[in-house]
Amino acid sequence: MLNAILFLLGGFVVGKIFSNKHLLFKYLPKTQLIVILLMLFALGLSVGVNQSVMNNISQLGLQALVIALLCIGGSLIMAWLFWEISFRKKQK
Amino acid sequence: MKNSLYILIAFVLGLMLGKLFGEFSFITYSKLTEYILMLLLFLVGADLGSDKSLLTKLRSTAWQSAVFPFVPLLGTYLGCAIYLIIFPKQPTREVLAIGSGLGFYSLTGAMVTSQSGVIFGTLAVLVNLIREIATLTLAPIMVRFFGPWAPIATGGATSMDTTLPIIAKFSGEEYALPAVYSGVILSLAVPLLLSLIYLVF
Repeated sequence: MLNAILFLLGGFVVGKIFSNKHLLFKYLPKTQLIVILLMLFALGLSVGVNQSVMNNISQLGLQALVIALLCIGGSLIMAWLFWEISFRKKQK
Repeated sequence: MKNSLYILIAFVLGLMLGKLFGEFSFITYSKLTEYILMLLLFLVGADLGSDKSLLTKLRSTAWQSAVFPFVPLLGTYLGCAIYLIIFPKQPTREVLAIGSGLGFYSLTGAMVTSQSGVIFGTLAVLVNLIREIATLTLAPIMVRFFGPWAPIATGGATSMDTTLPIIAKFSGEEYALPAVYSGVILSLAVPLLLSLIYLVF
């Protein structure tokens, strides 16, 4: 994912140069949200046309969902604990 | 909160249209997704670059960021352990390997397929894909109830690219660089963890 880093850096440089001078930065949060929605739509399309994923969803889908939800749940709980601990430390 | 709904609707709409109408003629959807992602990453970069207090914000979360990659790792194995306790007949090795993907579904799918066969391989792809999609669609809710680190933890290895724009948007841009760092570390860890699991079990 070298591309990802390059685009991030490219954006950073452009942001640094134009900073707050440019009116465009006012609309950045809204633009981001719209592009996020577009990306999720495109991701949906690419999963939807993937035969091997769509065909197996009925058989393996439930099992996958259970494992995924447990992994996500575990991560959420740990992230919450981490946040609580670090937040309390900061308050002191 | 409302944003999660919009994001979910966008994804499901794409899913249904993709299933109904199939592939476009001049560009594949996965390429299209990748291009939009690059645009998003550029926007995240611009946001970071234009923020003058970025360094102060970064300094305030420096030590948290350094140790953070352990959080998704521990959380994921906790989830795997609970799954193995509920379903004791499931193979420990395969469940741990699938969990170790941390959202990195392409690599994990390939590695699990070669070691455990196509059924577990497909399961590995699905589990890790669900993980990525859940992070993308539920990030606003996760941040609201579990704090700003939550989508970085559930994003796992994907927090350096695919889920990064969503994390930057809903956790706050000061979490973008910690997310990249955590994603890079975990992406490097995935192949190592998988090899270790197949070696030990």
